Amino acid sequence: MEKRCREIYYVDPGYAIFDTHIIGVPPIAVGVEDTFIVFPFTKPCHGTFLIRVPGGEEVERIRKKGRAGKKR
Amino acid sequence: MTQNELQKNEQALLVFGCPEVPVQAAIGLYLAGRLGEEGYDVVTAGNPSVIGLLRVSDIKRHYIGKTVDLDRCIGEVAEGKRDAALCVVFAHNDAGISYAASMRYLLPGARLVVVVFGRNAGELAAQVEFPCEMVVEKAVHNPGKLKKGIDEVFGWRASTS
Repeated sequence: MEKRCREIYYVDPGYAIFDTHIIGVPPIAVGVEDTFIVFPFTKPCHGTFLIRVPGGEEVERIRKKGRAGKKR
Repeated sequence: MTQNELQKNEQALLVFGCPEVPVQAAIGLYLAGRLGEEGYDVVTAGNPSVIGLLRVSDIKRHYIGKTVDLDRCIGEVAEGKRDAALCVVFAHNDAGISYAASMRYLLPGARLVVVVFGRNAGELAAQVEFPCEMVVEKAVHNPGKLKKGIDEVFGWRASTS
């Protein structure tokens, strides 16, 4: 995530993006690419993937609620 | 007040991982049964596959107690709608370790036991860097050593090491 996204925020497990509570070892990196939000999505049988979706209101929400990481 | 009375009505949340490793269901049913005998209110969380396997194995739900979808369970815990005094997470892959780390954060006051098993148990156990109790065995289809480790952690058997 940190290699891919210029705008990074950190959240704790349980943070909800579009009703999906993300899990992982804290702090969990969530990225913003223009109007898209990039976040880790974990399933028990398939592991963790990075999901990139149109962020809508979630982009502003992560900017307010997340802990800002490096901006490149 | 006896230990059983103290534990009565306290929730034990069992978080199951992917059911591809056969030993998980067996050891999970065993642990659920023992915890129920200890007086815990057992709740079993998992994906639809593992819940289906457990429900078929325990048709009258003598052991597994109430079941809840894993994603829904995470949401309920995160929103403060669900709590547990004891949480046991079964992990045989990276996803399992992620779930365990998340439960450590979401249930800071709970006793957390992480049962690490499968072919890569040793490597996975090394990824656990948060406070918890661990049972680690390279078990795939033989539950014997895993059962011994669980018995030791829960005081149902004296340690032989």
